[in-house]
Amino acid sequence: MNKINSLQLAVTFIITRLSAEMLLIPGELIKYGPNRFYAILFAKVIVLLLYLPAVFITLRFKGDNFITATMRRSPLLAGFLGLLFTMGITCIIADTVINLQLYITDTLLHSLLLITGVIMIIFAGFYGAYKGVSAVSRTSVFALCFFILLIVLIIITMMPDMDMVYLYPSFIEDGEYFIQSMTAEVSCNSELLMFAVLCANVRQKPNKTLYYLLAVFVLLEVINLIYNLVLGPFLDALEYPLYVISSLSDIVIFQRLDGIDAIVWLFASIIKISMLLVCVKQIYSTVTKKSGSTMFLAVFSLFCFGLCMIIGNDRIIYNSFQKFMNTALPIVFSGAVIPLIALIAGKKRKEKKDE
Amino acid sequence: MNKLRIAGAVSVLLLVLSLCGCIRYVELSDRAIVQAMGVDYLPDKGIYRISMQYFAQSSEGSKNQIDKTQANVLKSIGEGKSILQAVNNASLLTGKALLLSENRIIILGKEACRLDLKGIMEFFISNFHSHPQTYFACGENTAEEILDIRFKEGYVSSQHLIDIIDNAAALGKSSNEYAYTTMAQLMGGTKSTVLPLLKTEELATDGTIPPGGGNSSGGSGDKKEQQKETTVVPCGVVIFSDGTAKDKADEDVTMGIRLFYNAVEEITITINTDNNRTAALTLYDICTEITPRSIGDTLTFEVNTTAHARFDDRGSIGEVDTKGIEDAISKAESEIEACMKKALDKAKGCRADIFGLENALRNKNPEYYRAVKDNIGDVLFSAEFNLKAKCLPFSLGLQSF
Repeated sequence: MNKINSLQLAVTFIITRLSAEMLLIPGELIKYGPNRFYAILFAKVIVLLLYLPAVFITLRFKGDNFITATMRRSPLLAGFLGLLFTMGITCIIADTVINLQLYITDTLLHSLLLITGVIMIIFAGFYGAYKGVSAVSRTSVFALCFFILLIVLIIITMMPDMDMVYLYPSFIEDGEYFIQSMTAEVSCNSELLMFAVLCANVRQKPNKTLYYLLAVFVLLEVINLIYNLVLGPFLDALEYPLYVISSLSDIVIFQRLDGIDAIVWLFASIIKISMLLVCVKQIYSTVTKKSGSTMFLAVFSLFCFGLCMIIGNDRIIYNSFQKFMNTALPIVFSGAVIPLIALIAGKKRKEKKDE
Repeated sequence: MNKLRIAGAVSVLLLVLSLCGCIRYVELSDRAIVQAMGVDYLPDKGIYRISMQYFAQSSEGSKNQIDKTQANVLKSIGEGKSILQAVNNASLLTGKALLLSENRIIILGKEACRLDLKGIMEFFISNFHSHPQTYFACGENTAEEILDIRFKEGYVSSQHLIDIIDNAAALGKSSNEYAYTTMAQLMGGTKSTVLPLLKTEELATDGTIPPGGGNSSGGSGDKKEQQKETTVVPCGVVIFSDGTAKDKADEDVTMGIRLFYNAVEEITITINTDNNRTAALTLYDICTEITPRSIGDTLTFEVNTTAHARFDDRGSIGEVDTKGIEDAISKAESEIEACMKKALDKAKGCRADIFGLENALRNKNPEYYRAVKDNIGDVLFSAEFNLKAKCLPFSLGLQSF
């Protein structure tokens, strides 16, 4: 099994979460004002709680993830949970691919065909998954460096255009928006699912990886602060605020940083898709007890491609799907409920043995 | 295994190379790179008229794209029942696909200013991906007459227009807000903003010696002949409230507006001293702070402007004439206050929050703001204002007193 350390996994998780910031949260859920600062904070606390079942599994069944732990006790239940879990991951992959494709057509290549975009993204994701968790996590270090560079350049270049008058002290002003925004924030944390599977690949204590939440929290608050200080109330009208801000940034030879911005997001999303495919590959290997699963990976990637084409081709289906994803149900169910079921099933099995 | 890898890499490369056929693309040389755009509305016909200045490429290669001896600009016009239709019709004359991401300025004609500004701006920012740092300006008459003038200064004609606006704004005689800052202002409760106002004017340029010199006239001296040239002149700003143009502001009022904004770099004030002599003061480091205070239902805005004053011409004021300096400074302060008062009266008349009062109220008194948010326009314009200016005199880098 490909092994990585907890820091590598944490970096991958940071990149995964940041890619969702641009692509998965709809523009109407990024509004001007203090609400989102609190939504980010509360979402992180909720996500930390959702991690608990997966964390308990790593503590209880040392070196095992939920699927291996269940497999040892009930292969049938493991197969069933694996299937449910894979459905959750499939939804997230489809959501990421379609939104990335929309992002590319909305910002860079306006005439890019859906099929072309989806093929390229899925193929890149498949290649990453084929190379394995170690290669993808190493790549995410580069992506994070790019991202940090982008944010630093934006802060430096936009400093004169930041207007402190746009900030105002206040608590949650709009309860309904706050709940929506917080739910969307939670729905972006697909790392929950990755952690449930990849904790078995971490050399040291996998729980150390969760420190990434602190780094993500700080980064997201900084990004939100930049949104508010530069764009002010105009933020309410924008679909991709960071893209607009980066297009305003000029630094010496870099006239407009939106190109770098688009590359970083493309890079980050492909890493996320690769990692999700790695998880599916690992579940398949564990349940079927087969070590070579490249063919399955290729078939599953093709299935994802078909699904993306169906959802992406019809605006009504896409809107309903997006609404469903923003409820955070797939994340909560696959990332927390399934590991919890595995944990309870493991405990009951032990109680029976004890009797 | 290595052969397999090489075969895989080659097939991926071929796949990637063949993907370009799946993307519709337009070569740069087949694009009309729009540099400036004018939007006019013809109310009698109920149609929009779009005029565009677009970049004329001198060659296809990387060298000599810009021939500085030429105007480097072509013009195209189009009419339509909607802006989109008019833009599309304007592109027909160019024979090329439009590229608006390099557009530097969008000028609205007099009639177009009476339409919903936010709608027009959103159209250009979202539909045509205009750069968020595009300038928006208003023409005193039509936008087209301004774009008819093709400057040879700068790499492209629109660059000179931008320079004119920027320079006027730095001196407090016009405004130079980017599209995104203007949009942020329009998102406020009163949907107010200001845009620079431009007009065309025929100005006498350099005196030139006629062909043949002065000898042809038979006189002894060289006779000079004045040439006239039509150019663009900044002449204040247009005040928008509730999303549409309400009134114009002359240069004095514009100066007051810009002082509220903290957007004036330097002002020169001339003061009459004794014996019909004048002293010239340059104010710099100008900073205005707006502090809202609410006592019961009464809202008061304390507007404090501070500046450093440099005596560029002392007139009859001596180096150690403390009273003379004090009097001059006091006059300068009164002049600033009067200028800001004029701007305030104008804004109140238009019911336009062009000073960022709503932002200041939200920033410094959020509880009060939340209470009056739905009625913000009435609250802001019924508030009291205490305008105070304070100048600190400097002379040749040394404090005079």
